[in-house]
Amino acid sequence: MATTPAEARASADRLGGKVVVKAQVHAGGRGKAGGVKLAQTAAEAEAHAKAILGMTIKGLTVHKVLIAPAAEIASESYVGIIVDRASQRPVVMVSPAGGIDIEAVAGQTPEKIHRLAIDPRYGLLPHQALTLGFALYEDVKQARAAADIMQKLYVAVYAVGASLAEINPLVTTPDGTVQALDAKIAIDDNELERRPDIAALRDPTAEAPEEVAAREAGLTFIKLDGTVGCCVNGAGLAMATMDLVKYYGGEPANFLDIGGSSNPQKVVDALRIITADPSVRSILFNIFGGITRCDDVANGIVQATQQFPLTVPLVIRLTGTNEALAIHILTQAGFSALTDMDEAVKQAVAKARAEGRAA
Amino acid sequence: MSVFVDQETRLLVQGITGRDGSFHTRQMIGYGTKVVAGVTPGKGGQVFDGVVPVFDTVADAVRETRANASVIYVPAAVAASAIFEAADAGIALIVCITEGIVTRVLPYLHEHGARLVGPNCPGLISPSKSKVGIIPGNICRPGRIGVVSRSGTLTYEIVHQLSTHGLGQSTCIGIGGDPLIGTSFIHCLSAFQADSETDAVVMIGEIGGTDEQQAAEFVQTGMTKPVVGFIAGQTAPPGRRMGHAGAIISGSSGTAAEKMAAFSRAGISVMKRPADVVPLLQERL
Repeated sequence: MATTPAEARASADRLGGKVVVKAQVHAGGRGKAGGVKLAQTAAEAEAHAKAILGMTIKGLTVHKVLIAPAAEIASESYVGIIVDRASQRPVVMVSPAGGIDIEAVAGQTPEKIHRLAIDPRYGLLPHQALTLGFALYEDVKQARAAADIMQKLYVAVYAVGASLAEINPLVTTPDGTVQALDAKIAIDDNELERRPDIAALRDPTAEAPEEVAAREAGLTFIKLDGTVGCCVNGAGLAMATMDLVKYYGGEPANFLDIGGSSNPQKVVDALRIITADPSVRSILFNIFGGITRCDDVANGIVQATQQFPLTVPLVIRLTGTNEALAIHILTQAGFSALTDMDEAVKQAVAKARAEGRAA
Repeated sequence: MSVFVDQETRLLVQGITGRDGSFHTRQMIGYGTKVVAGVTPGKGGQVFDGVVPVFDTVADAVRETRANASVIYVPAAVAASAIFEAADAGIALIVCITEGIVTRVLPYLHEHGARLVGPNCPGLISPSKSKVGIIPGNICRPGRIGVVSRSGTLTYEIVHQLSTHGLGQSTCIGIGGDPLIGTSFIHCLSAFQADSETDAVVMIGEIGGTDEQQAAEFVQTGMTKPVVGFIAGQTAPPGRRMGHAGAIISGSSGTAAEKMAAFSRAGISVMKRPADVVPLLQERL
């Protein structure tokens, strides 16, 4: 792994000069984006690293490159394991048409992808793996080698609770050896909470800083391109709120779910994150109190405004548990609150537009 | 009648002495749910709030109290184990509020003839009869509309709209936002179709997966009662997980537009926003 062109050159030297330089970001399609380059010499590896480090792939900046020995490739295949929603089972997928364009293969020639649903109680059985191996290679030795890799991958998926794992490409070299050249594994956030050892591998530099800050504060936040900042309890209501902003002619600046059992501090953290975005022109609170208590949210809003200035207008809608108390707290602090979602969204959109003109 | 839970539901609470379990047990008892037992290993013999006997195992609780449904509030790390235990003890309806991947649990439940609602769901409520889970009882009114949803607070928003406009509910079911869930839209739609106390159904979906498309096919071929539908996440970007583990658009599949089109084709009235639910239902009733 290298973080500078000089480190890349040193690694390439150690590996004998002929290497592959690969961008390390949490996204697929790196090859297509120009993030994977073959170098014949250490000097060329340095030049490639210089070009790749700092480039942006699917919105993520490349901070690290992997320097790997270049393999002579005779064929490229794909092996993936996903948890399939329709069959409610893990599904192993293999394709002899591996390499960078597996998404295109899935779209254009789905018959080149072989799928097998696995009974999770027994796992991937040896004969099933071998059958999939023969879908990739005619040679029995290669089929067995691929089957062995698939079974190991399946065990790994279960051991870490992954929702997806893939080897792409699985290659054969000119001497017939089967080799996994690159791999990707996806582990759901819920699973990470259970596995601190794996969560520790998380690389925060590969993610948007405000999303990292939100996660550390126990919030779910996704930055979008609009001007209406949204602070909502519950993921479904948060999405519906964004949709309603759009419905009334605005653009949401973010998805933000403060979660179920909110305490005032979460609201303070949420406002800090939303207000840090310079494109936000108004902030909309949409709270339906169930487990979330409206008074907790109201107290959080008041505390936040005591800690840092709000430079954009705030529109607050809250209804449900302790609604009257919340409205009292907000009124005392000079805010007004609405109880209707549509009315609140309309006002937030109008205020964002007015602020946008003033700015 | 109502769907899945009613006055005959004899509820067991797994994790009754925990922070969430104890809070919601009081809420459920306050609503009128027959909470007959609790389970917390090591606390067998205690009596929760002086009214609910606590047992060490689900098997003990079932033997002593004839519990026929269970609600699970245990931490995520032991949620799958709690589901297995309930199924082994012969519980027919298991409602898992805790979130978690249940790949290995589902075939087991199928063999034991148990229904799982969830995981990662708010549970269900048959207004004025029984509440199992965390849906606030005060926003519901008894009536003849069935509600089924992948979401929590968005469901409350829509139920609130119904209740304030005089449209009560037969049963409201939150099936959960995870990619793998025990009870699908289709199971619920089928139960509502068969329920003599349900006149129409509100279905609340979101981006990710194809459950809503399959549900739409079922509505077209297997339902005579009117269905009104909503999909959250019209503005969600592809490839990002919108809070719920299941709410993610992968590639071009699982988008809100695709699901809304499937709804329209199947004769489901499509809500553009939550407030549309009342006028659309009134048109169809």
